[in-house]
Amino acid sequence: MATTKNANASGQKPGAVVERSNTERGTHEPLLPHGLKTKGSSRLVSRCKTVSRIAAIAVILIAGIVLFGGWLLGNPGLQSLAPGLPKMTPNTALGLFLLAVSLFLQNSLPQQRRTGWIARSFAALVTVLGVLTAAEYLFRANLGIDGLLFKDLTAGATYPGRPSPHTALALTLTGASLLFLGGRRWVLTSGQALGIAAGFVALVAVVGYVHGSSIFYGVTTYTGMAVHTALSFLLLSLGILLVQPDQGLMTVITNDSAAGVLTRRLVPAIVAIPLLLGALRAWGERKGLYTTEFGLALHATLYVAILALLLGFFARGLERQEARRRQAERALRESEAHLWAILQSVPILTLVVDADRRVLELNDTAVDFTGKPVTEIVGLRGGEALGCLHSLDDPRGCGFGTACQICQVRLAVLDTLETGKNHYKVEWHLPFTRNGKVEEMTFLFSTTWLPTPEREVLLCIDDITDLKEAEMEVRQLNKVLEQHAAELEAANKELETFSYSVSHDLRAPLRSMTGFSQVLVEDYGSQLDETAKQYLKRIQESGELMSQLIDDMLQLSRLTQAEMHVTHVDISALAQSIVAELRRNEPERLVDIKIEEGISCQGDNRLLRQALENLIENAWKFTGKVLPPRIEVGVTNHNGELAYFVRDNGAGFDMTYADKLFKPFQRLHEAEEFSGTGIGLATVQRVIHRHGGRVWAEGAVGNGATFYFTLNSL
Amino acid sequence: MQNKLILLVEDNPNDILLTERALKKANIANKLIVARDGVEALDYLLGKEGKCDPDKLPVVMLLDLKLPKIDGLEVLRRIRASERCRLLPVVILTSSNEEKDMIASYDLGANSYVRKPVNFNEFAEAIRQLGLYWLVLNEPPPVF
Repeated sequence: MATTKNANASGQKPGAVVERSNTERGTHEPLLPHGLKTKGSSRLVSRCKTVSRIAAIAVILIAGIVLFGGWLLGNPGLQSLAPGLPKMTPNTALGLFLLAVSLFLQNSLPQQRRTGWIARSFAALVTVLGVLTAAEYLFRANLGIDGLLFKDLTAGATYPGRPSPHTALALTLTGASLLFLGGRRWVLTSGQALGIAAGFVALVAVVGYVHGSSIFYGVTTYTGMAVHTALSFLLLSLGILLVQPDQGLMTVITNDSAAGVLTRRLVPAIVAIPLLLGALRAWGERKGLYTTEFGLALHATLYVAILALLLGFFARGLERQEARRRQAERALRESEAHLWAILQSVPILTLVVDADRRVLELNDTAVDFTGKPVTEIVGLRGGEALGCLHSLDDPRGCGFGTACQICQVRLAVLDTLETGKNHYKVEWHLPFTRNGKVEEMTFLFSTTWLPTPEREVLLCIDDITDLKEAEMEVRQLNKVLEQHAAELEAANKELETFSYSVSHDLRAPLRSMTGFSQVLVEDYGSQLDETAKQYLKRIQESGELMSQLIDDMLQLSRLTQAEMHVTHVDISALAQSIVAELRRNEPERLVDIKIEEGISCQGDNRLLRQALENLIENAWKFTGKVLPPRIEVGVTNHNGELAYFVRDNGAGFDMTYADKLFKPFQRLHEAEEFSGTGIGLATVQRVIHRHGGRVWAEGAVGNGATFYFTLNSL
Repeated sequence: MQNKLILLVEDNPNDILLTERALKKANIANKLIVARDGVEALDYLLGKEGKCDPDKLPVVMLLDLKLPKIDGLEVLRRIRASERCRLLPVVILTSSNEEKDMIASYDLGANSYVRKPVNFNEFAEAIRQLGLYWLVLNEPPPVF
């Protein structure tokens, strides 16, 4: 059970999550799937708009000049560029002027409602003009609109002042195109299509001019489309197409793909080359430079050659671009492979889940954790995939059980999906079946919002169950240790109290025993015989021995309690001073004592003095019956360890009992023979042990003894 | 010198007997006042109302540490805290040779610390020297 208790045990309140928000991602608008909005194409868009604007201004100027200079001031050179060629009628000039203004307004200030309204009403006006003119032709009627502004007095014209049928068509198409140039996609697309159609009509006229074929620019019986009219319509058509270059039909040209690039480069060539070549051929033929047949052949040859050259040139550019793209793709694949390898090899369960918390992808570590084949896992909800036992709580599965209400993993994933906030290193416990039994597992997990168009979350889970268990064990062990330490301290305290009362209370009765036996001797000595006096003396001696035993015992117990003060200790000097003391107390004894110079160590001076005192006093004592007595204090190499030693040539001991030497109150000699309480060597051992060293002895009865000790470097 | 009082604070009757004998042996005939526990000692010195007859003040107090009711160190602390007895010479006479007892005693202002020897002859000698020193050689504080 993922209970609150567990969450609290880890020091984390349920719901307390660490959040790392990604500031770069303030809004959660997914990136465009095809990457259309790149820097390069936005530059292209603004350039197109500029060109559109220039085209609009150019047409405004042309139409304005024709209207003002040509018709208002009556300059025929402006009405038609050359004598005999069709004129730009006043209505045409006015229509072009209005259309150009409409285009300019739509281009520059598309946002403002009023200008949009003006632009659209201009376009509508011109459309009506075009339609009416066309109707005049169709129904052979005269609506009286031809001479509305200025009277055209050209002789020979069927309908003087009336725009040619081409022009009427072009006006209608361009007007309608500008009317449609906003709003929904299909409206815009049809607007652009109308623009293209208008441009085509104008192009036909231009081709006619270029090739000198009047039928192309004018139906013989009517006026034709003037040169500048045709050019103006071409410009308007171009302007219309470039107003919104990133939308509708124009995306074919402006998109980033190879197709877009190719189209951008080829369209001008396809339009311009035949026109230029046709013009060249027509010019040559008119000048009589070559025959029609030669002209045709030249035209075809040049056409093939130039197109082939262009094609080669463009193909090469495309190839280069393609190579760059392939390289980028390879780099992308490589980096993807690296990332994939990293994802697979990290010992962290890594899953990608969708908005319904269903697993989309997962790494090997996660697959291993589930113990099921990948195909069975993908599509399941996170808890079901991993095998969380709570996913069985409710028939609807993971996320519907009661415990799921507080499941931090679920809540974090949902929060990340909803708000885009990442949750980092959240701890949570969930039950799983492991090795046939239910086990609480501890997870440390993070959720990360993925920058994909679909709502997806990356869920990384670190299984820290073992770590937690180890931590728990350490804590438990610590508790046991603490308990032991407390018990030990209590025992020490008790021991201290015990030895205190021993030192105080055991001695008092002894004093009474020895005291009153002395009093007996002093006061009633005359009434006692020798044997009685002897007995009293034995009482006194025993009392004193007991007192000595108590003192030694206390000393031994204090050795374990005394605090260690580790300093540099001069063992040679210590030994010298002990020997000097012994010689002072028993000046009559002549012992040959050899102390090695310059022996020193790190240790507690007071304790080491006690140990050395016992060892040297022993040697002094046990050499009491040999001649000549010899004692040696030195240091030797014992299996690579420094072993300090005190050697004598005294009574020695039986090696059989070597292990009993250091036990308290164990004596190997009769008390009559050598005095002592049997505590000395026990004291030595305790001191050496407290220094982390060892102590041992070698000897033989009647052949002296050597006591060795080592000290751990403290 | 004869009218100078000695106060012995000791709970062990045997030790009291032995001390008396040792004094007698050393020819010290001064009056020995015995208090058998800490409360008795404090009652004698400070009185029930915290007062005490100046004539009854001892020249030296022989104080055992391990006492019934109130222990020796506590007796010493209270004496040193009192106006009248703060300068009273106090000799700790005890079986203990614990380092911490010695330190505590001197800390509280004991004038001397003597460990009772188990051997009676040594004990008697110690008592003799103490008597000689504190009754004869030593000049008591001017209050007395």
